[in-house]
Amino acid sequence: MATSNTATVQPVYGESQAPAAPRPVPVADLSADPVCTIRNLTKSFSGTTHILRGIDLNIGQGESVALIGSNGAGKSTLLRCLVRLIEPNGGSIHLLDRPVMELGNRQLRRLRSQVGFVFQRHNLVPRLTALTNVLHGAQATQSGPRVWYQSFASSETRQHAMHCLDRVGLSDIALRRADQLSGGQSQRVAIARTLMQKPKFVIADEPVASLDPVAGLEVMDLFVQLLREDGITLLFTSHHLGQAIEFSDRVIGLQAGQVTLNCQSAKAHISELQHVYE
Amino acid sequence: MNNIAANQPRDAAPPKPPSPPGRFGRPNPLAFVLYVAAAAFVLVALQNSGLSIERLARGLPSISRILGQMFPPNMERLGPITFSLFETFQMAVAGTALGILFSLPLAILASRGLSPHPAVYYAARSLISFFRTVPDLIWALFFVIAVGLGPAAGTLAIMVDTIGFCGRFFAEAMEDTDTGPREALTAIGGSRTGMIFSAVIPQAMPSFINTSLFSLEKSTRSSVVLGLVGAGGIGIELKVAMDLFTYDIACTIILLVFLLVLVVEQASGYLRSKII
Repeated sequence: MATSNTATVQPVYGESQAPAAPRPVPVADLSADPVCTIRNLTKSFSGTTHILRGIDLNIGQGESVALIGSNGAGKSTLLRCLVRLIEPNGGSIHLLDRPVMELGNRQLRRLRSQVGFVFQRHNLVPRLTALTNVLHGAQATQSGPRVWYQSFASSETRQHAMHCLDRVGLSDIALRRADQLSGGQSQRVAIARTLMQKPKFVIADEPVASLDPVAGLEVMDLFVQLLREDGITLLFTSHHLGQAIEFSDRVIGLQAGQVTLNCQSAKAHISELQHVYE
Repeated sequence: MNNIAANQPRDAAPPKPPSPPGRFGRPNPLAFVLYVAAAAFVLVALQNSGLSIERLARGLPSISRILGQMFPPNMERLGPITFSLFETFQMAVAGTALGILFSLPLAILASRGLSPHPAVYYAARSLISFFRTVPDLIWALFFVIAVGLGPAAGTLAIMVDTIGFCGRFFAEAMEDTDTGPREALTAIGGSRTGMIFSAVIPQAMPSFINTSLFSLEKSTRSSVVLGLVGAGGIGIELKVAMDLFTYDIACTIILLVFLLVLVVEQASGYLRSKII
């Protein structure tokens, strides 16, 4: 019922929520060579609260996809299910050529090491410096005290962490504690931590929702630009429809745990996307 | 709003607001019975303690006699007493340091969300509770029998007592940390050990320092008493002074102990304000 794995992507609406607004123009499937394939994904809590109701989705290599929907539509749950921070109840996920649902703990950690995750609340360790927080990104591929604190790290790792901080424009405050940074700076550090990880796929859950509009736009611009430079695929959620269109190749709409919109950003209009919130 | 106002007669009384709920909820019968039983138990305990105004009045002359004999304090044995006091403090410091060292891994195992398995979690929690509930004097008796008289037994007793104290508070501090940074490191495939050492412990560090300093204060106080059962330190000096009725020497010991505890508490408070 949702997006099929065919050559075209049709905008799809839930049976009961079909809006009267004009449908987005069907676009060519950008996901011919998907790095993420989701089929009939379901998730419910306590067996009664159904959050995801059969999600079908493809995301292509290098694509930037915005996920929109009202609170409780299932956006954050879907993102977390992709790397099993929340265990789905059913369906299948293929991410970076791996069947996510079938992976053991060790294999799952290996997959996660290639998937960056940027959170709305930054999730930095407050008492540690910006540099150490960036360095934590190396824990995706290394273990031991040398990636716990910048003081213990090897010269190459410290150098790489500084490079990542420099890319987000914060090399001058490398030794400032995370709890002394502004919201925008914190999110930049979180982005640098993701870059440190050298991911192939990045998930971002409302990455700029906690920032003011100007800082949010700046951070989002930087974030998407850096990922595009590295050819990294991005799936992000946003309540800001303008940003969803501007920073994505495709917009996916979720309503009550179902994909009800799937359209190319270049041809999307805010007025059409607003129907997802009805 | 205007329509509503227009529909009401001009002289109609405004609707009466609902009355506030009762100040106190009515207790359920079981809770009421338990309250009464608890109050009765307190009264029975006071009755059975044998404490009475009459008895206290009879003891007042003895108290004043002992106090009279205590002052002025006797400084003849100041050298040996100071040495014993230093030994006592060393026992407290060594026992606390060892206790903190061993309580950290135990606290990780006893921390919900960090423990590798529920069985390990309950085992670690039980062990910490056991260490905490057995009084330090009992531990001192046990270690005096096990390793002999002297400060080694006292140090071990303080260590076990500290594990019980710090283990519990360290575990709770780690449970109370923000789960966001943990989730961030889990999401990128970080190891459990890495997550604990780089996301949990740094957040819990102020609480760790606070608990450790309180533990040192507590150990300093208890190390004085441990000597009474032969576990080293100044306690044995105090016992001998009391047994020989040399209350003026006992007074010197008590004053020096008071001074030590005061200095440790002040230093600990200063460090807490500076570090945290």
